[in-house]
Amino acid sequence: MLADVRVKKIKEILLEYKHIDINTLSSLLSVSMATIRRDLDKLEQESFLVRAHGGAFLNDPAVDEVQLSGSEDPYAQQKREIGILASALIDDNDIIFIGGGVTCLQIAKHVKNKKHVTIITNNVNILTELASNTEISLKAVGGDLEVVDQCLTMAGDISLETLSHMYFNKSFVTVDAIDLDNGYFTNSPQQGKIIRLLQKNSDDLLIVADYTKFGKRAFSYVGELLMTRKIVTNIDLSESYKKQLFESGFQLYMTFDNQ
Amino acid sequence: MIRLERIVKTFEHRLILDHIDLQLEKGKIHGIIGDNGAGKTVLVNILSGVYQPDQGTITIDGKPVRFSSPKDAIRAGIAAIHQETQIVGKLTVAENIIMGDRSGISRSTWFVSWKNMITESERILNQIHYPLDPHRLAETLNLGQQQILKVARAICSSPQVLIMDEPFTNLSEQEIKTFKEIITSMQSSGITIIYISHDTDDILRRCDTLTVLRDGQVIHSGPNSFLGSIPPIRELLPIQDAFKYPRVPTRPGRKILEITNLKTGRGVHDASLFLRKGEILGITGTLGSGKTGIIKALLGLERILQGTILLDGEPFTPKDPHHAFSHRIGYLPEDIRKDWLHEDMPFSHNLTMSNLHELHGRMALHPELEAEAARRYITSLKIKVSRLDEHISQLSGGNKQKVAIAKLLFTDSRILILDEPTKYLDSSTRIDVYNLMSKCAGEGMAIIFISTDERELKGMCDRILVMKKGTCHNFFHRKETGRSFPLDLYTAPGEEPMGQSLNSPTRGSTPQRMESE
Repeated sequence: MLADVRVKKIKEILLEYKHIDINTLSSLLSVSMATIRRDLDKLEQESFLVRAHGGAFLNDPAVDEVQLSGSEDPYAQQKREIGILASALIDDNDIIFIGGGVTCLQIAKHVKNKKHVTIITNNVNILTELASNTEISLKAVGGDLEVVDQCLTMAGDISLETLSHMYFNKSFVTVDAIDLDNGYFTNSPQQGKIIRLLQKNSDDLLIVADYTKFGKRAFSYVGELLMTRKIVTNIDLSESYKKQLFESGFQLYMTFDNQ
Repeated sequence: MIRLERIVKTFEHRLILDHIDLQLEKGKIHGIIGDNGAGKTVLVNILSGVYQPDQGTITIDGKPVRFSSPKDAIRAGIAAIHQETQIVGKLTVAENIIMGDRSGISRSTWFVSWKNMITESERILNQIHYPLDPHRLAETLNLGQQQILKVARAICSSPQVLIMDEPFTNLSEQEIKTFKEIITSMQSSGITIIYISHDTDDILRRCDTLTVLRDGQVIHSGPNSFLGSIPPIRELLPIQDAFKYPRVPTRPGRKILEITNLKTGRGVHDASLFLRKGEILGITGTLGSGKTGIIKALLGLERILQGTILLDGEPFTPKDPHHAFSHRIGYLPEDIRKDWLHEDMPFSHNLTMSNLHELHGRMALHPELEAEAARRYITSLKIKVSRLDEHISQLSGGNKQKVAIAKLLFTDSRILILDEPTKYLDSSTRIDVYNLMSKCAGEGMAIIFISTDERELKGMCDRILVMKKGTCHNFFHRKETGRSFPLDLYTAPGEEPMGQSLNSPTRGSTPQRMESE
């Protein structure tokens, strides 16, 4: 691979993942770690990235926003795959709501090749992500600022007031816990209120949640299990949950590990 | 009264049956339900003498028994129709029946009376009101008829207890009706029946007692009426809902396969269809409708008398399955155990043998490449194996199906033909298979999905082709199939179909018109 092509490839990877380690880069591009280090040094001089121990971060103020929790998200890959799958469920001409959290942010990142889509969101990170996308009509919901799963998110009376006048083809939201007997839970009571409102204001309410969210409860009750019958999650979901959800008439979309 | 006490069975250090206690009263129908891998089939195999329990006792009418082979069980009056019993294709119908028990036709150990064999097998076939020519070779029967043949074989020893493991698989409506009549008549003659099925509705309707197995344990056992109302049963009940299938919409690409006016030596008179990249095309119909005939022609297993097949716009005349495979047409047979997997070979060999080119080095196959492929599919499809060299025969039905699909995906085909891929599976494996189909279509593969389950077809397919008497009877499009009208498999062409929706103007009157859009 030519050096120019390789450097361009590294840039692409970093723009998508925001940070990456040398090991992975070297196996992805099939070149030695020493070569990768040289390329990263070059890119650091261009201020494109910041070198860190064993890898590099994209030099981008937005990265700080994504890294709000300060620690690495162990399920980042699972959330990314859910985002890709959920974005495939968006049709042309849809008017959709996308809520707070990293999984929802991943949906927004992968809305591609869709025509005349309108996105309404209370997720500030989605606004910055989609700001440059001219194909999408983007509308923001205001309100009180909360941090939901590493994302700056609006909530409270102002959000509810705005959303109560809107109607959506599809709403994508995330929850913090799903329990077969008790239903859905969020850590923030305010986000729960928004989901309850969306249930009334949407043709389809889709819950996006990685498999670790199942089989537990969280602080604030959102609603019973059957308030929606569409869930996007990972293939790693336990067999008993798959079985019971499928047999209760759930449309259960699952992602496979891409290796 | 048959009593099982503290039955334990392990395979390769995995506990399959965990202290099973069960009482089976005479003359009753006992239903057993549970997931794939719950231990149903192993329990059946222990009762019928195929396996011996590691611990525990079986008593019949108070006397302890120990079966060292299925023959012992048959002598004690217990016969079984196994889910995966093999019919010997090269033997006649009569021979296949009488191999269940030879004692009825001849006293000699050394000689067989062929005349008695024919009359005896005719008598048994009459008893179940299913006339088959006893001289016919079993391999010429279709899967439904073979299933009836298994029943005939099982009842040939006049058993006191009859075990049926998923007996309705592969049967047409008419045959299921016949089969259910057989069950009723046997019950009235005082035979104890043990009935295992995924058709929970039918189990609840038919059985006197119910046992629910989960992870090798009995989680409930008792009279049907009490159990019908408690949560574990209700959780196992299927809900009628065609909207629960996880199909991610795709934009179909260019036509990859086009069949025009196909006529074959057997079964197909005039069939036309096309298939696009990224599309799932359902093909359905009853036994003998020609739905498998089209596939056989495509794989070069059936002589093509008339018509053309275009593959990527180029004329294609399939010579044999290998020829079709080399053109990246992958086929997953309905009977994976007979036609696809090698039970006594390790999991990893099974997986990779479909495409050994992938494993080639300069001189020989690379075992590490094989291991890598095997590990990749274990994680991505969640296949439950304890070791890479675990034999296929040790895996549960659902896991076998996953290995079968992994083996197909390993071929790197662009057209996947799936013949009843979900038939033996419980819900949790089925939902995996549906998601996998959706993913493959999303990646641009074209899928032909053969099934007789209307709900899964409507839920998963972009278009559904209904075959009748060797011709394309009707095409349904996805936007239509969302509505709840029947696919109408069972009325023959020319007959007055039932249901007002068939007069719906959106349908078109000829399949050709629907085809050309």
